[in-house]
Amino acid sequence: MKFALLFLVAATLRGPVDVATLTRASDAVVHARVVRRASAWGAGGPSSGVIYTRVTLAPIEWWKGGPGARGARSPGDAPHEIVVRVPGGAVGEIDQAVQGVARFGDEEEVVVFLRRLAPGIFGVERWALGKFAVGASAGAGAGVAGAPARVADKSARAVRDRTGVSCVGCRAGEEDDLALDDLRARVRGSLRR
Amino acid sequence: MKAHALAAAAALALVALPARAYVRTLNKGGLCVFWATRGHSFIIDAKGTPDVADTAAFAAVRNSFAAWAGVPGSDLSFPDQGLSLDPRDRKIGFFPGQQNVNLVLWRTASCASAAPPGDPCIAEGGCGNKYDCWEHGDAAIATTITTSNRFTGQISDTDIELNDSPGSDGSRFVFTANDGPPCAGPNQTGCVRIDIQNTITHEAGHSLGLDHTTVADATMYATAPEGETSKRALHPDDIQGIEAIYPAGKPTATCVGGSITLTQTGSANSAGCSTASSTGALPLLAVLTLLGRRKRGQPVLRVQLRQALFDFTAAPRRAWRRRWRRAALLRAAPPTAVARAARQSPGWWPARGLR
Repeated sequence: MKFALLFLVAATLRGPVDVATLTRASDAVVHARVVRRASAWGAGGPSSGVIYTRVTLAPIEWWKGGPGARGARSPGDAPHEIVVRVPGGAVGEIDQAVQGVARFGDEEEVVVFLRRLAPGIFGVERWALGKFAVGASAGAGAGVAGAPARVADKSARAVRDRTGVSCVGCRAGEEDDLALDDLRARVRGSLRR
Repeated sequence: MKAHALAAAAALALVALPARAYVRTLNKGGLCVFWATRGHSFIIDAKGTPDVADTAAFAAVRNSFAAWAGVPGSDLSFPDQGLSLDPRDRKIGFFPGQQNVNLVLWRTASCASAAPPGDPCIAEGGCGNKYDCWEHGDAAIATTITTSNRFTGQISDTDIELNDSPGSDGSRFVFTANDGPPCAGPNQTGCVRIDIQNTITHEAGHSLGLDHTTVADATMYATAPEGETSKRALHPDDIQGIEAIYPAGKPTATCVGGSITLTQTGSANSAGCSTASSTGALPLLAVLTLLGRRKRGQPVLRVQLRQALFDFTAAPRRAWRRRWRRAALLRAAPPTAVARAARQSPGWWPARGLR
């Protein structure tokens, strides 16, 4: 009898995690949509001890890095898809859920602060604190976090979920809920400074 | 006089409702995780941290577990298995078919430098155990990995890993195990930086099945300033949570969460909880109301169990049916019985239907 097992990872991270700090710490920042997710054991199979989920993103717009940046599959061209690897996931009978890392939903629209791991493969900078879910504003009648969203209007919001993350040195009032345009402006403003 | 009586009744009603804020950790199947035993053993890697010269770091880890063992209304214990001396045992995670220990260890090398370029573990993950290095990024201080059964929530293994490795800029977290004020400068001594006991007490709470609470003074609160030591001592909210899950002399409380919201208490909990008793019968439904056409994020079914009201939110039809079946199954038997039945009668356990 096989048992399905769940791995929970609770993370303690170092702050601050304001947009400017995140932007500086990241190799790339991308506004993208989740295309697919697939989980597998780490290199070496079950003997690695930990399962990872590879989240494939289709970039909508690069806010930092991007075309020609490190991680692009062909220098000079924007990659059509990139892969973000996060700890946890499900493999057959074994199920891993990870607390503290960024969670991605099917077809979810996101802004992600990326840390390059290998060509075309990224991690999320500062785990869950480096990912914003993009969705329509509450006034538009739709939820934000985790819900598949197709947002093109000016009222789109970018929301960060701190569930599962313990932060040492985070400041009060860090930006967890911003207009998407505002988030983009803050990222680009941080690059100019 | 009548007004006074009404006010007193209202106050009494408010007092009667348990004001709890602790949050239980849900697994991917929507079940709260828990230990079937009361607490768990732990072993500390003998390498410790170079930041603390003597055995104070180990004592801080032991004190962290002792804090949870000291909850008066619970009966948790954490047998100390001593120090792990074999470098080959510096592995976190869960290894199917092998003996797993609940390990606490510091990683002193970064995988960015320890793993050779081109190694598959860089792209696929797994460098941490392979090269004994920290692979969770410069900003992460500690992680807890807890392994549990997806269908019962029963925990079988937990490991705590701390980051003592140099970051990309060469800087490292400095762990301390002494009392004192928060450090004000980089060269100050006798002060507190990343307090080991503060950190491990918080992580150990996760290993017991507690998630982050909304109570700012609690050990299980998500944010901590550098130099903080207040999380070494449990807050009443932490104690209330652990007493609710592991009540002394009573069965461990299991719960079903996810799509179920317990609205009767008005608590911040995201899960409705129940106690797995020896009988464990599902209470009869008093009121069951279909709330019309399903719409994302809105309740579609309201179930009243005596004085408790459960709202089932919309979900894809298959997932919704799955959750309902799982809730019924789990309430029909205590978790140990579910696990035993799953082992003994694979055909009885509708694993395919629950996925």
